[in-house]
Formats: sequence, C-alpha cells, structure tokens
Amino acid sequence: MDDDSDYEPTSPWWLSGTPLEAEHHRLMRRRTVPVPWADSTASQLAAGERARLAATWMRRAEAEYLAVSTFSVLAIDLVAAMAPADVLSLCLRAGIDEIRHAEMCIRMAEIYSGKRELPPPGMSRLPDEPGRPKLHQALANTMLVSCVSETYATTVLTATRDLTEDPAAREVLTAIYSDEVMHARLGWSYLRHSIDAGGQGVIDAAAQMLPRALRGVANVVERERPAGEVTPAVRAHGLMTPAEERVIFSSCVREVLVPGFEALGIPVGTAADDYGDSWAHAA
Amino acid sequence: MKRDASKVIWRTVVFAGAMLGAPACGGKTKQAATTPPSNTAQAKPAADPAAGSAAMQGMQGSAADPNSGDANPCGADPDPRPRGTDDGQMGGGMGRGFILS
Repeated sequence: MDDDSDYEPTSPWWLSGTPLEAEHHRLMRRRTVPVPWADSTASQLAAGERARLAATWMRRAEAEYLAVSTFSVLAIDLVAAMAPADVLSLCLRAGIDEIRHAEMCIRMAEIYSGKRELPPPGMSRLPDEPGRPKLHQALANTMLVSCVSETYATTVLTATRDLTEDPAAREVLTAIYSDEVMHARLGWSYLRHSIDAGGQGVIDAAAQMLPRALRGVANVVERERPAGEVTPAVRAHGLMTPAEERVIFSSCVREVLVPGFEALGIPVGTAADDYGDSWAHAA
Repeated sequence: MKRDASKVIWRTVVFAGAMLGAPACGGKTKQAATTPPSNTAQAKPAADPAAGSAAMQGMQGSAADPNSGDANPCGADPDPRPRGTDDGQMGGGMGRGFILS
C-alpha cells in the first residue's frame, strides 16, 4: 500500500526499541490493511465470552508465530533443492506475512483480555528425512505447509469471516486470508513446476507424502480447544465450534485438495474416504 | 463449507497456482539466459567481495557450487539439517496454518 496514512503499528510494545523498528514498519507497511481497532465491540461481551475469545486469539497468535519458523525451515529445504528464485522469495515473504499475522492476533487477544501477552517461544517442526532426494524433501514439506495447510487455512478463514460481524475481527481475518491465498498458491505452483521438471519420480514422492500431509492438518483440527461456550455473540467475533471445523476440513479435502492433486496426476488413495462424512461428524 | 466457497478456493488457489489450464509450465524447457560479463577474464574469485570469505563458503557447503555433485537437487543429503525433527507427530505440530477456534 502506498498511502502511509493508512498504516498504524499493530503491536508496537512487541518491538525492540531499536532503530530496527523503522525498517520493520517499512516491511509491514507494504501490505498493510487498515483495521478499525477502535470499532471493536468486545466491551459488549460477557466476561466469559471475552475470555474465550482471548484464549482463541492467543492460540492463533501462537500458530502464526510458529508459522514464521515453518516458512523459514521450508525455505531451507527449497534452497537445498535449488528451487526457482520466485519460489524462494515468496516463501521468505510468507514468513514476514506470518509476523504481521502474529502481531494482529496478539492485538486481538489484548482487546479481549486487556493484557499484553506474547505467545510462548517455540519452533515449528517439519518432517525431515535426510536420506531422500532434496527435491522430494522440499516437495514433501511444500505439500504439507502450503498445498494442504495453507489451502485449508483459506477455506476456514473464508467460512469464519462470513459469520464475523465485529468490525475489527472481520478485517483481521480478511487481511490474513488475503495473504494465505498466496501462501497456498505458492505450494501448488511449486508442485506443478516440480512435476514438469521431475516427472514420475516427483509424482510418486507426492503421493507418498499426501496421507501424511492430510493427517498433519487433521491433527490440528482435532486438537483440544480452550474452555468456554461458543455463544452466538462469540461466533460474531469470529469463532466456530470444533465440529464445524471438521466439516470444513472434510469439505476442503473432498472439494479442493483431492481434485487438485488428481488434476496433477497424483494418486490420492483413500483420502476422500478417510476424511469423509464419518470423520467429519465423529466429534 | 459453502459450495461457492470451495469453488472460489479451487479457482483462486489450486487452479491458478498449479496452472491447470496450461499444458506445462516452463520448468523443462526454460533455460537461463546468461551472458558472461566482458571482464570475466580479469575476475579474481577469491578477492570478489560478493563471493564471500572462504569461511563463509565453508559454512555454505559445497552444495553452493553448481559443479559439485552435491548440487544435484535429486541427490540425497548426507549432512544433518539445522532444525528440529517431527517428533513422530506426523507433521501435526503447531505453526501450521490458521487455528480456528
């Protein structure tokens, strides 16, 4: 965005207090989305509802924060595999996007809790099999991180944004969604590029990785959630029930992911059945 | 998820990203169009600041050398990688996409 007047530091208390801050703002300003923070309707919620939302936004902050390292580790694999320059630059930019997302989620958590808190430190874990070809290693983690995880993220963000009425929450979800589209597209493009360059060996490696990639995201969907009821008011601030999420993941697998991998000639095995109606309604 | 939402994601992410409407992307046929600089003969690689120090080259490993066998992206990597492991979580650790609720 060119108009500097739209830019407002999101969580300035998280910054270093050094001259690096100015460069950080330059990076963030490039894709800033004006969020109407002051229009948040959090004060109209009951204490329990605010606590529920604060816990969720902090978990989102944790996920976004760890995603910084996810894309950093993925970049290592891509460099090792001599991925094209545009793939590398988009992967590294995705890491910067995740920093911005973490800032926004931290601020949302602060809005609901009244506390300035950071997610716990940590590092994302990605599968690593040093014995396999570098191209296959890069491809496997690109499928996990980008093709499956980020594509699923776009679907849940779309659904969540549709039910969100709170102005601040809605704009934050919109901003994250717009970035996730490119994060997901990165994976599909690299997958296509790799297949064109590597042929059947790449297809075989992708087919081998697919169940693991789907299971990895399913693990996140199945994870235990913060305590507290998802009331209609909470929903209007951007929250669904875990049961709804399962249905969304199932739909994503069957209507987006499986058709996508099949279109590229990658065998999908029992993926559609594994995450079909039985799985979707198991919770 | 609404069927319309699936269609939008399919079109904007998968179809566009994987270029499903195109026969093939440029991976196989596109060649790097490089033109050697006119002063190549005078270049002294060891003194080239852009090449970095010998120590840095050592840190980067021989994979940075396109003439090295290790540069083959289809070759196995015998060196440990500077990162953690999956801890048997089947790729299901945190930091993967957006946590919804």
